[in-house]
Amino acid sequence: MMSRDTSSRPLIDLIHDNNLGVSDEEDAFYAHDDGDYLLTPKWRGMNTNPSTRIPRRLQRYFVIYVIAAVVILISWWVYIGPRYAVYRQEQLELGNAAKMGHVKSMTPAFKDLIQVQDLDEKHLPRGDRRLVVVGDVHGCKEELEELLKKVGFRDDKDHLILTGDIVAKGPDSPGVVTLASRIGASCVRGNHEDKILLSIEEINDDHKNSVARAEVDVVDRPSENQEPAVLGTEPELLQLAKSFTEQQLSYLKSCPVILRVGQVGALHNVVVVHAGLVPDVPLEQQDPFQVMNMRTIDLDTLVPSEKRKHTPWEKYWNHQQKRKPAVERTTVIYGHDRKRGKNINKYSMGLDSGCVSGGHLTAMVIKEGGKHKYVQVKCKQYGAYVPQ
Amino acid sequence: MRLSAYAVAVAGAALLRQSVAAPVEIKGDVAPQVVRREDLSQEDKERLKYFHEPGAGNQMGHYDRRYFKGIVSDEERTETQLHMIRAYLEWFRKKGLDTWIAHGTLLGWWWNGKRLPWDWDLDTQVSDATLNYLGKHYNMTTHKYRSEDGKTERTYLMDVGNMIHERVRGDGMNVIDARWIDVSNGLFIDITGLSETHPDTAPGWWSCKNYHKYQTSDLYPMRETMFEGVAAKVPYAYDKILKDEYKEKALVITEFEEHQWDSQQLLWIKTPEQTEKDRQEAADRAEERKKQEEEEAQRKQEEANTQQEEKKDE
Repeated sequence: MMSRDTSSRPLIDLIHDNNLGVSDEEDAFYAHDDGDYLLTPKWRGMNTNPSTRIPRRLQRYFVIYVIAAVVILISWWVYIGPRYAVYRQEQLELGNAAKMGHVKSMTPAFKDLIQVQDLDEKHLPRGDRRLVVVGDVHGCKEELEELLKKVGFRDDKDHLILTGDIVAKGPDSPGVVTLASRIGASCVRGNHEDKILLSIEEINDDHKNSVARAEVDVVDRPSENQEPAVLGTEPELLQLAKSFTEQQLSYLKSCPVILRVGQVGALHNVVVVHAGLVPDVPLEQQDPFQVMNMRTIDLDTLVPSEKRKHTPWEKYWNHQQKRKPAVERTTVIYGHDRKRGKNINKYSMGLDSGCVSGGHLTAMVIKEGGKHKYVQVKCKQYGAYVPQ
Repeated sequence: MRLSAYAVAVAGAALLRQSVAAPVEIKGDVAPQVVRREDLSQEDKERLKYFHEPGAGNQMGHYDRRYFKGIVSDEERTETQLHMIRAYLEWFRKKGLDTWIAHGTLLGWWWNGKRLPWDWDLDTQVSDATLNYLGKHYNMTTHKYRSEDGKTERTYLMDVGNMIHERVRGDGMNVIDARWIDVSNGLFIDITGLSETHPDTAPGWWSCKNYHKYQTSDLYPMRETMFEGVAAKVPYAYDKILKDEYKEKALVITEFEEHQWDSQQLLWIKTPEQTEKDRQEAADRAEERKKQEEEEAQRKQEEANTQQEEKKDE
């Protein structure tokens, strides 16, 4: 019955709400194909109007720009922003510290300790003569020999400077001293040389006193069952101290705390120390203990410290050098800080790359005009690192 | 058989429990009696103390009672301290005994190799071995001194306390171990001994009786330097010791106790205000003395007068 009814009408009439009759001449026919349901018809109309239409290429770029902006914003929030704030804060603190100025105290000199010495001018890099500065050797004689070979060191033309701590911890301290003195190397006094030389002084002192005491009205010495000279000196250090010959000791004694190298072109004034320097304090008035031991500087007081809790001293050093007229700028080459390793800045070069604990032995090779490069050799692992 | 074994086990366990839980009886003086300085009466303090001062505080606390004649002037104190430390360091050196400068004296050395002008006493340290040696051989010995220019002659007493074998603070009455005393006015150098008080639990830590602690590696090997023009020793890590005791500020502050650091002369100079104040005080004191003398003279005059009159009357 139903089929009969429908057969009399065209099937198309049965389709509910049919719009198949839409003409492809009308805009609406294409509207769905835009696939653009995000925009209201009004905006879509604006875009389709040929006079205000945004080219499709630009539309695509717009999306890319938005994504890029989001990435930039996120990285600013997460990474660059905080870093920039830290940098700003640091610059502010360094600037404030610089304003404070230094108090010049005059700590008296010490016996048998050379505070400052000038490098003989004939050793300055001229022509094909080079200066080779090597970080903490710590008795690694083989590595030092290997490094000199790699650098192509010529005894008659080049001059070697060691940044202190050439002895202790490693396998052949006396050997390194002999090698250094044979090729006429310059050196500075490191904390290890300092301790060894003082310990030897204390032993000799005690010896002298035992003679003096015999002349006094008593026979027994103040400490019969303990040697005061051994106090505070680790047995290994004492043993090492005793292993040096007179000649080797006199070489170590000749190492100043600060070696003033002189003017070397682009490096300006060059100074070699073991640990560090406080800017704006004359070399003669630097505290020798700190020059051999410092790692950081307290920006509130400008007092250096052997601990790590303050600002790295070289940060303040570089900050201050950049603000000086070129002729007054000073570049410091140093060692001591194994933990921070090779640490190259514009006005400070840290060369201790931890040779004795299996790292590298680093040389800074300086040519005429201050042009320089770094050369390294890999070191053997010499047992566990012994904290100083 | 089995039952008896159980009985023994139970009895044994009970006995063990009882004996473990029973309080330990302490007889007599086995338990150490803790005496604190605060609990002591003035009398006890005096009795327990070895060294005595005429009083307390900055003015009176820095003289030895036996030789105290009166508060000395600033000039005499400076002069006394200068010769005293020179004599001390030279005597120790001559005898081959180890000593080094400490506390405020070390801080003064750090600044310019001199005493801090406002410091009331001088401080030195020795190891406990040296302290014992001093007690054994040089206690209560006197030492004559003549300055290099021959103008000053003094006598010093090396006085070692009777409590040097107690190496902890104890009742706190004898934290100073020995003194080097100028017998002309009672001013002195405080000598404290350092000992490794806990070699088992804290080896390498040296302590004085006033709980100043030092690591062996910060003290030794010592450095030889100059103090007030004579050879002196300072600890290896003098810098660290000063910072631990006085903080970084002490190495940069340029105004302290009415003195100002002069970075040209490298000297601590008394501030003008304080100089003026001191002058005023000295003038006041002189005036007072004059007045007293006048009064005394007047009184004597009057006395003489009345006596004369009495004589006349007779």
